[in-house]
Amino acid sequence: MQSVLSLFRLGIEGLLLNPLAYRDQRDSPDGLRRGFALVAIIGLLVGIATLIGDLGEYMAQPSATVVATTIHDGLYAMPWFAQVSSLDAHFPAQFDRIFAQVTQVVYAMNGGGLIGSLVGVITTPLMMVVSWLFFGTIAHLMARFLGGQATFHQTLASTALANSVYFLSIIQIVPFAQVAGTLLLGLVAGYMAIREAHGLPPWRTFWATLLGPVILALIVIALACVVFALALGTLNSAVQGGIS
Amino acid sequence: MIDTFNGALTLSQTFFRGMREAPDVVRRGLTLVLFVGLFVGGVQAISTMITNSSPDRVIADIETTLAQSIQQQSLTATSASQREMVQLLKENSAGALNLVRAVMDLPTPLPRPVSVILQGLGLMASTPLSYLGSLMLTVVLTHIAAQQLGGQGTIQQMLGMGALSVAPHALDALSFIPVIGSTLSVIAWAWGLVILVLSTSIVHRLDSGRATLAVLLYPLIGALLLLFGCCAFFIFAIASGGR
Repeated sequence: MQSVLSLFRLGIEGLLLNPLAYRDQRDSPDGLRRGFALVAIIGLLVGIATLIGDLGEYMAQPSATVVATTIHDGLYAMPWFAQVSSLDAHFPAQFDRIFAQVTQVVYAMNGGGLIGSLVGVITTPLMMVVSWLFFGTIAHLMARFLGGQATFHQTLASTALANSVYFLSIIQIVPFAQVAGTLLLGLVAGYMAIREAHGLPPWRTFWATLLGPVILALIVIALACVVFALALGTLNSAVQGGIS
Repeated sequence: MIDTFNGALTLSQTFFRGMREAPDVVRRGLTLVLFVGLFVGGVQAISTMITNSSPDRVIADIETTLAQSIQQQSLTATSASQREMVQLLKENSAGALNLVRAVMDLPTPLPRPVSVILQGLGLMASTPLSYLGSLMLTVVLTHIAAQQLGGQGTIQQMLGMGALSVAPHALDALSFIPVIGSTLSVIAWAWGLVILVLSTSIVHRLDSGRATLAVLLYPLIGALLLLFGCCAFFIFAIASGGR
């Protein structure tokens, strides 16, 4: 219990960008172990908070299927639908097909609902640990290239503390709450971690910090483009199928 | 906390210099953002809860907005196809309102008042982070520009002192008042900008001209790029349409 509390205090100091906490983390012999525990605990807490928040939202909203059915029936009841249907007898079937495709895309964009949140309890800490290792490794290589002096162990120990900004994401325990600002605050904390670990001047620290997230962003953008193109292709084929 | 709030609003140079040297500058700055965010979010949440507690009022608001929109479009419709579109909107507006009413009347596992309260709490909890998100972008861009202009401050000092620019946004709590609310928000934004310039000047030990340039440099570059992008897009669209 005591060690969990000390980890929590360490995380708060990391969140508040206290340089002493980053230096202490760099110099501590068990900095890496403590850092790993901090990242995993924050990830687990964020995952559980998101699950609770999503459960609250689920209880406070009508079921997505019922909403979709109501919208579908409401659109059927509107005068435009009768007008178009009188001109084209195939229109209702085409409309149903397109509506089903759009509904599926909306469900997919919602992130899988409660099951997605339940899976998130496991995947959130895993993703946080993986992104910490990825960021730490790239930042370490770049910092060493730019003249940094810290060991790999010290870099990872310091960058783990930068992940403490994700304490803010625990706000998702409140249903309908939206998180903002953690990405940039995380980058600033990462900058602090690299600076305190490697003792680099500001601009070198800036470039060592930025390279990892830029590579990650490019990968995410490329993946998003692929997913978007697939979704667009699916929707397009549905529309084409409906028209023909 | 009240001293930090007052010091920021009154642009006290002594207070700003003292805060720059404080070891807990980030904590003080972020605490201010938290309190202003919770205050504004709390007032806005109550306002939203009162509005959303009555579905009839929400429907009436949507009906008024829709009627105004159709009225405006019918006044500006010049071609036959535009008039046909306005006619279509008029014929279907009642159906659209029925659809909104049907969705709002759908049963939820929790009673409707509880749902409304949860939505209010969500809004209240999100507001400090919303301010933090905008603040982080402003602070990071200003800090980079200030460093390029010869500034000497640290990112912690810039974040803590930049957070003081959120103090005037306590006026956003009154944004639900028609007409006056938006005017107060503009005043809060301008006041916050002045605080940010003063903070940058003191943190980075820059004169006021360079501090203003540091604050405005990247937003101006962004606006210019957006303008050029829009111009290029329109030229491309016209050229494509001409073929």
